[in-house]
Amino acid sequence: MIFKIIPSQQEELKSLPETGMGYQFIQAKFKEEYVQRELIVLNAELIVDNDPQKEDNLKAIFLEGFGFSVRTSVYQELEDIKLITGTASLSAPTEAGALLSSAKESPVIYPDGQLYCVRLSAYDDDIRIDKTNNCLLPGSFTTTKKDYEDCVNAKDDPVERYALPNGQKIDWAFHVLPRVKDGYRFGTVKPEFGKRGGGEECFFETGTSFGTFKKQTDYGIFYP
Amino acid sequence: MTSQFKIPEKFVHQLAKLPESGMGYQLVKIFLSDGKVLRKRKVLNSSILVVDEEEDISSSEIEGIELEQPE
Repeated sequence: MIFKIIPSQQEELKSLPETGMGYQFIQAKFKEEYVQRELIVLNAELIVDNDPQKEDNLKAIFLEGFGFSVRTSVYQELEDIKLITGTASLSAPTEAGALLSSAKESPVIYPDGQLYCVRLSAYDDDIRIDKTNNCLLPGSFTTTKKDYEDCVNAKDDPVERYALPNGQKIDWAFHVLPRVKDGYRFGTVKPEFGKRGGGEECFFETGTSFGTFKKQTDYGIFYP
Repeated sequence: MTSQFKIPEKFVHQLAKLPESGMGYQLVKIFLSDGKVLRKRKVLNSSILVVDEEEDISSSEIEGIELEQPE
C-alpha cells in the first residue's frame, strides 16, 4: 500500500537526513496501531511498507509517475518516527528500486574459502552448535565476522541488529569457518519483534561440514 | 509480559532438526492437550518456549509442536 505523509510530518521528515538519494528508511507506527513498521519514505511525501509487496509498490510509483501517486494516495499519520541509521542497518534500494532480501529469500551461494561466520547466542549450550562434530546443525543462522566486528566496535545492540525475539543478553560468540562446499544464503536481517534488524545474516540450510566450528568465546572477543 | 519454560526433551530433539526462523529462535505452533493451538510462539535455542504470562500453561500440556510456515 502507498500512503501520503501528512504535511506537518513532511516537515519533520525533511529535517531528518536521507538514507540515500531521495529516500529515507524509517521505523514508525501508523496512528492507532501498536506495531512498529519499517517504511520507505520517498521524497518526504510518500510512504511504502518495506514488506514483500514493496517492489510492486515502488514500480507502480515509478510507472504511474510520482506526482500521480501523490495525488491519488490517502494520508497516513505516523507516530514515533525514527530514522534507521547506519550503513548496515538496512538494505539500500538498488537502481531498479528493489531492496536486498533476507537470507531465506536469497539464492544459495558458496563460500570463497575466506568466509568466517559468527553465531551469537545467550546460551552457553547453544543447541545449533554440534560440539561432537564441531559444526552447525542444518537450518541454522549466523552473521558474518565483519558484521559481528562492526556490531561490537560500534557498540551496537546485537538484539536490535539481529532482531532477536527477546531481550536476553548475548553472552556468547561461536566462531565458524565454513568450507567451500557449505552452501548458504546471505541476506539482511529484517525488522521483527519491534527490533530494528539490519545486520547481515547467513542461513545454512544444510548446516556446515564437520570441523568448521572453531571456538566459543565471550561476546565481543574476535577470533582468530 | 511473557514467561519462559523448557519444553520436554522430545520436542527439543525434534526442533533441533528443523530450521531456525532467525538466529537462535524458531516460530512454532503449539498443540495443547485440551485441543487449543497456540500460533506463532517463539522457541529459543530449540528448547525454551516463550508464552504470554496470562496463558498459564505448563510443559506437560504440550502435545505437539510444529514449525510455523512462512506467510
